[in-house]
Amino acid sequence: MARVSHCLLALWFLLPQSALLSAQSVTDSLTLVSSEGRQSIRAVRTRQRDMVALDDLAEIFQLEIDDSGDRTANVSYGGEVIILTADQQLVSVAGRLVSLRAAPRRADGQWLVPLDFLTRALDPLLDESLELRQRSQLVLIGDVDVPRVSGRYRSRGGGGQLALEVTPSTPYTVEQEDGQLVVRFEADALDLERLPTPRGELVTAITQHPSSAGLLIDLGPAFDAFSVSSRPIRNGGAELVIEITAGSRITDAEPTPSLSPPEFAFSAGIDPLPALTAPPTVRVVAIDAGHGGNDDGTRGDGGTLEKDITLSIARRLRDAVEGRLGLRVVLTRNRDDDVPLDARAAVANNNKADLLISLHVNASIRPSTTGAEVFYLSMDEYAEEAGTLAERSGQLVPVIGGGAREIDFVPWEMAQIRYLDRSARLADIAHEELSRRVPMSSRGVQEAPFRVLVGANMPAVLIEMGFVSNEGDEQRLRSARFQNAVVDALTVSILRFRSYVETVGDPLVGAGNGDQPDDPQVRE
Amino acid sequence: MYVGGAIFILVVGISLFFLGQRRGSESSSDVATRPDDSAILDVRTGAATLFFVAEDGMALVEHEQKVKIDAADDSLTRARIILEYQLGEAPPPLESPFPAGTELRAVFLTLNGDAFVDLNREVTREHGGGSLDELLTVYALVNALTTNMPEISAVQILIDGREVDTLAGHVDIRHPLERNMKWVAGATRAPEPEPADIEG
Repeated sequence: MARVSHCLLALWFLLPQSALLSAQSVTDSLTLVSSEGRQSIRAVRTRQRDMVALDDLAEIFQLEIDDSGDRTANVSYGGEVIILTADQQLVSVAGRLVSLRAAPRRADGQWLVPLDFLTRALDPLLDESLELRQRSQLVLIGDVDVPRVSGRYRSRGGGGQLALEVTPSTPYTVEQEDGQLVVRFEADALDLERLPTPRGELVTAITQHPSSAGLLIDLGPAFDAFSVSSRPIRNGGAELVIEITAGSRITDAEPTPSLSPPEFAFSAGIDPLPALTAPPTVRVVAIDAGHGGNDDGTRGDGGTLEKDITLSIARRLRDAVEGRLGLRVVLTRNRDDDVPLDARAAVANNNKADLLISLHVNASIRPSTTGAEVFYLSMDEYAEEAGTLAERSGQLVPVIGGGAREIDFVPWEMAQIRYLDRSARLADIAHEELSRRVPMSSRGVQEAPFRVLVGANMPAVLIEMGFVSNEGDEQRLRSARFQNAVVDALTVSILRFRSYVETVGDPLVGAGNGDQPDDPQVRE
Repeated sequence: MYVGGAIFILVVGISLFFLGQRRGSESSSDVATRPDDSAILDVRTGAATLFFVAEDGMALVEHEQKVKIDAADDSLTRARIILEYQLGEAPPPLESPFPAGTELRAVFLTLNGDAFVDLNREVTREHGGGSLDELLTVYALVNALTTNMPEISAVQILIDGREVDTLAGHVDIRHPLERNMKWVAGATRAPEPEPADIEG
């Protein structure tokens, strides 16, 4: 096969920028990254799928398109042929049938293909590999360095801390230039998962560098100095921590939430209504004792049943949270009952719980596997539903008295989608507190498509407290000492999460922006 | 809802469909069958990638295994053969993620790349429970089909012909699941499936 020749940047200005794109809903561009540079391709959203114009791909990858003018097209490269048929997801790639996630479309004489056409159909024909990073809308061509980067910003005392997880670990520099800190990585591009949105006078914005693999940190008037450190983390990554300090008088601390009545600006003849919204906090905690009734859950060699352990710890946790924190607790079951998974989320939702903790006991066919683990919901498995959700967001609906109101529609069974950031935070806290008290597995916080979590309309985590299939863990799980240690860890976790919520505000306002203010280390 | 009356057995349909699209390209004539293609040798001596529980029990590991697939086998037959191997005994020291007695009842493929794998009730009744083992059970099956058969993009597990919420109370299997290498040791990401090992 002939080698792909990219003249990416030059070609971009020559591209037809397919006329039909203007008739579609244009979404974010894709960025193609190769060793020769970067280039954008416009994507359009049609029938809830992101598509790109085949003509644009042909220009870049030097494909030959034989359009029969009806419902089929042959795309040739290096003597191999891809056969497309309009509105059919199956395509033929060099004689092999491959299923795409959406059917190619033919409109106004041009073809639109889904994004996975690149990796499923085109990639097998090329000498260089293609990799699609859908979250960051990147297409990687050949051997390029594109580390994944996610960031969290916290206000700490009089300063701030930006923590960047970079996987794999990549050399970097941090320099102060014209009111900014410029972070540069020795990479071809960055696969940015999220960037925080800081508030305050120390750091005013964190954005992606417009022309290189890096970040720009806009400094506010309170900035005084910065320092940088890094440490290795899991999967060959590194955490880069930039500590930013303020001048002596000005600090970047989050404003302390005030419980005093708001001040009103009175004007003649008008008495404004006071705000009745309660400040965000944690008032109700839902605790789910996994399994129950005819569903024993897992069972240890010593006869320990998961459903008994989870109920015992759920009751202890209820007593601790009610007695020590003064919060209202709802249990999804308080007896040895069968409770369907939907009903468990419904109990939490109907009681307007502010967080849900689902308690479980793990098992492995390998008796040596041990330790507690913390999970929150993974959205990878719900990509299609999430896409539909995005389509539904921001719909205008008529209201009584005329006019319209913008409403986000969230299916009941997908309620958790709006709380993922908060759930991740709760999981981080719970993992940290459990780690201080009970043996943990070698894995950190994990994401999984757990059925009981997806319908929870509040931050939610699932705790696997140990492996009943391990003799030592089984004995521990039965002991009051271990159960109290778990209860202690989760009680402190709830307290810390409450402080976090009170600092951040309404979880649905600005949710997903990655802003991570200071998490007070609350001690009993 | 995914099954919803739209389950198609592909074999003949796909072949006829693409045979109908053969005009317009010399190479397109080899879409349906290419008896002299080197890929068929891969099929005859085919090494399928199967997934078993690692020695530490914390993840799946890939295991290359020769499977008896004939060049004339259609997609449905290949899917069934791969599943039979996946549900079979694991090579020591690896362990099978499926409880003893788990059997394949049927496989259905749809035109949009979904596979429906119908297992007998033993896979839930005899499952040891625990979310970790449940994740490994589900993704061994999903990854086995999506890794070896590029025409399959997602897999839904049925029990005795019916959709179920979970196998053992944790993992949501109400809809087709795509390949996920997060539960496979040594895999740090979930790459797109490789080109077909098996001729279509």
